[in-house]
Amino acid sequence: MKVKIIGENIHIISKKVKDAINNRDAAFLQDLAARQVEAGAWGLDLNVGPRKRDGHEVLPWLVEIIWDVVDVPLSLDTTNLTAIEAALESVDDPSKIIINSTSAEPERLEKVPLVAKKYGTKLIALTMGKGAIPVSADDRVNIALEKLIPRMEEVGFPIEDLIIDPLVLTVSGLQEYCPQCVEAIRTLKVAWEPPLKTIGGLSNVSNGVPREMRPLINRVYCAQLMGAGIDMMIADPLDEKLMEVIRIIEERDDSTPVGRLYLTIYDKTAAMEEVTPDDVDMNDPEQVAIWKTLQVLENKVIYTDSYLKM
Amino acid sequence: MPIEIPKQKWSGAVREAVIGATPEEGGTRKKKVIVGGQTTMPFLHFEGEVPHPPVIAIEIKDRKPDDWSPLLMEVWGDVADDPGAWAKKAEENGADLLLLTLSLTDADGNPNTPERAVEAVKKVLEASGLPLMVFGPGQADLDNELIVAVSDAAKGERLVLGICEEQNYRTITATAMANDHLVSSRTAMDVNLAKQLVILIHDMGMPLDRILIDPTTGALGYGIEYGYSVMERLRLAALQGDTMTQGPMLITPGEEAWRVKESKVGEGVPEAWGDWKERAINWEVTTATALIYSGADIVIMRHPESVARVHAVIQDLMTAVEPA
Amino acid sequence: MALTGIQIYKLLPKTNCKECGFPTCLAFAMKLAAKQAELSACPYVSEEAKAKLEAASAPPIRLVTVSADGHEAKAGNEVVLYRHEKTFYNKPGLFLRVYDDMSADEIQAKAKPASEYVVEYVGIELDMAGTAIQARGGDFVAAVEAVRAVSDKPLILIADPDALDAALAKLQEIGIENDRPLICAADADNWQAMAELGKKYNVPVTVKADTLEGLADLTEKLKEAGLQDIVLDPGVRNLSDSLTMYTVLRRLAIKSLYRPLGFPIIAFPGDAEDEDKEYALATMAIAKYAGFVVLDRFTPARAYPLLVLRENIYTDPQKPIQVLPGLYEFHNPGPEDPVFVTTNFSITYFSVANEIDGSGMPAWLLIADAEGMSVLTAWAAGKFDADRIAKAVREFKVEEKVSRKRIVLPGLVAVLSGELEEELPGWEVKVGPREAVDLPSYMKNVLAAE
Ligand code: SF4
Repeated sequence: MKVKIIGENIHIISKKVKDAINNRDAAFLQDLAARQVEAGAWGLDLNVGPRKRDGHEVLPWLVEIIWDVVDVPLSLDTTNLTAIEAALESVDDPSKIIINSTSAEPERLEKVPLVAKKYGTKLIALTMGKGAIPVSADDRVNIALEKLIPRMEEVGFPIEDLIIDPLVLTVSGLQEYCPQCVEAIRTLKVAWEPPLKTIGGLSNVSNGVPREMRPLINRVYCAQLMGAGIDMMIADPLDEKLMEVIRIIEERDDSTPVGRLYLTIYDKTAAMEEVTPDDVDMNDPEQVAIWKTLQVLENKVIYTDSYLKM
Repeated sequence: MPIEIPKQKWSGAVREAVIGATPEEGGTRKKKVIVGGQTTMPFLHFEGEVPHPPVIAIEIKDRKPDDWSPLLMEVWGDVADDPGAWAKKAEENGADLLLLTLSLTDADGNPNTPERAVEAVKKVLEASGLPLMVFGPGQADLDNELIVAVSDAAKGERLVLGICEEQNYRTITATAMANDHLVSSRTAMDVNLAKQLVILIHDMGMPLDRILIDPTTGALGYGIEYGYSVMERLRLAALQGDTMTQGPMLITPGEEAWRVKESKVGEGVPEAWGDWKERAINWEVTTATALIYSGADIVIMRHPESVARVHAVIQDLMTAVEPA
Repeated sequence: MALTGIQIYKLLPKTNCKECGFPTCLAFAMKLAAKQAELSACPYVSEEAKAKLEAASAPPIRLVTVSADGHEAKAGNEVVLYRHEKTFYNKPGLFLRVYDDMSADEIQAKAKPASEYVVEYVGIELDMAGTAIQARGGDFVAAVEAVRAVSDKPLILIADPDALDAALAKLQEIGIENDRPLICAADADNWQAMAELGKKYNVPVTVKADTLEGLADLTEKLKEAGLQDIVLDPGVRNLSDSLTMYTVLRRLAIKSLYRPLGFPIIAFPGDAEDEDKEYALATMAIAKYAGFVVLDRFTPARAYPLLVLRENIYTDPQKPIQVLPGLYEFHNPGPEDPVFVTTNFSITYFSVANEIDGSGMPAWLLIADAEGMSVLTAWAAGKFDADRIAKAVREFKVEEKVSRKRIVLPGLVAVLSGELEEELPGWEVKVGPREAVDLPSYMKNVLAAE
């Protein structure tokens, strides 16, 4: 089964994107959308931030101009529910919209599923209640089983349209969460009938990490998440090396040594086995870097900004 | 049926560090202090080596401090204007080594100068034969200026120089390397940062056996649980073979404990807090001992009664016991 | 170690037939992991899986409760050696000991203030767990009566079986609700009589022996006699042997799953020859695995730090201590002075407050409600965003306090600055250093220079 990539690049954190939205520069955003889809994105995430004042104008406009150039599902990534409703009112086919997101916090869990149900959208739900994000996989899965799913059943929202996000967090500072998120995906995949769909924001795993190291961490974590059975990832489809790893895994392309190592990570994660030094050619610097990254992501070696040099 | 004692096999060890140099070694110290070398978690003699006990440093200042608790000034007040006399008195009160912290300003509020810092260090070195650590006042520019001068003036003494922090470690590290001293690497209660700064200092060429790790801990009641767990995690990583976390750990329970309200303030506090002095000493002792259980090697303290009590704790803990 | 949901799931039939009453095998597995379901509810578990699950499902350290009236001292149910691995659950109760050769007045003068002692720490009330009463050639029953006249908190009774029998009968007669003391101690000679008492009065029993084998032998005998609630006294009285034995016992229970020693530990710092050693032993007992701690000396200035240490060590690393959201002042700030903002995670607050305080410069510190998370975690969880910060600015009326509207974000969340500018029109949003230690130089070199 293929993992669906939701392109992350239309994000308010980028200054250019922010300016383009503020200036209603459709061309820039349309280009960014088209390039992501060409690169293999299955859908696109539109993160406009809270945008209290004009979210209800911005989001419908954004959806409209994006759908003018690409015909893919859109994930509306904002806490501004009014903006989301305005966008949903303006579109013909809300079933191609993903609301991103609800959580198990009472206020959001009360309102957001009702909107999703009313318009027939898909819905991303975070395994996070009030208070700290739980570290352990089981605690996160329990939030899905005890809070999120019951609420969906209560409002009659179809579980098939629910997408659980157990929250990818950064290895820089929140390292102990990284392996647990992989386990949470694995557990969620068998938790329900019909099986739950799962999603994760891949790039979050390298937030705060020096820029040049981020892509490698993202690639290795991607192989782990795929091994655990993740269905969708919010990620950067313009990252060619990342897309190449996904291709290698999906096509089981074992023609290169590095590709074989990624396949091993994928297979062993799927089998709940450990990758060992025997799986790695320690004379190949690229494989060594992958191995070190895996050690850090599995929380076996303490992360630092210079872990690759050690 | 005999019970199999569960012993952990560790692949790593804490690195040994030597502080202070005797005349034969190019210094003037009458003894040196060696810490580290453990191959097990604290004091589990039955599964590994604990070759050196944790040591206690007494903290002294280059001039009478403005903000120390009256309870501390009761003890040190008569010598606080003379770092040499203070050093001597600290030695008499059981210090294994000394920490001299340099003040930001002189008594009149003028910035401290390298000349005065060097003078204070010289007085301390003359008055006491104990190994010495010298920390700057904690402001990057002044720290560098003062510590470089101190480092040059005390070349060969194997001082511990501080404070190396993420934003300001290069100058101190460079001067410590040039003059055969050690450095203390301080980060804020975080395993990643603690390890990272050691790497950065080591990258400059400083040998690992001359880098002490100060993970900062918080005082009892003020975050000690974080410091405690950060230290346990660093020590576990060290024993598992992570070379950048294998340095001996240096902690400052004296400074931490004596800055909280429970120790600083005698009046206007809840009755349930009890007698001021008894409480204040217990605060420092509890902060220090708890952190000894989580892996401290060098314990910097302030009150002589606390020092005596923690010494007794360490002595007891160094008795090897075979479980049966 | 306890099994996770997915590990249990792997041992189940994976057919989702729903006969257990749960919609999926995994949902059932999660309940088993949380000990909220019985394995017998699934008719299809294989014998092999059953054996594995049963071995893993009993808690490695049995939970033992000592109670009286509404008070409880619980010990056991621990699952880790180091608190960061999960958390330590049941805080060891501190018991102050009196002896039966003291007069009733002396006993009460000692027991009452300790029993009534309460101290507040970060909004939590901390107290002593109760009183221990030890026979020393006096009238044991009278001593128990004397204590009960001034305290309805849990008891630990230390005497020979006959005296204990009489005392337990007396307690029944006094009739405090849930009065369930711990009795000490069964040894190789008297274990049968002690077992009888444990059963007759339904109270937990301490076993005492100098060796692990001796302890294991006794617990097995008591279990055969039908007792479950057992507490271990390995007879250690120094720091080194206590640390060694407590660590070995904890490892045997948790790592080796060695059932005969899967019980909480009682420590007797009170047996120390002087008060400093007693204090040191108590510190150790709290940090290193004791479940019940018996002391001979009580003063508020001793109890307070020990209780705070216990609170700190037993804080769930994932449920950090919080400080009250609000606007805090340093060095009498005025309308021109900068406003720093951070989260209400206690450590974040302490470190930022310490540095601002230490800088000697006037400033405001706005603490936003981020549900007790550190800056980075809170930001990742959406609990520390522009919205929440703006809310805090309004809630605590910051605009009434300052004329020069400058707010300084923690460097870790520099990304929020754009959004915050939108949320707070008219404010100058600045990005501070990533680490609190760099605040003083930032204040001096950047803010003051403006
Ligand atoms: S009864 Fe057993 S097989 Fe059926 S769903 Fe429950 S756990 Fe699975």
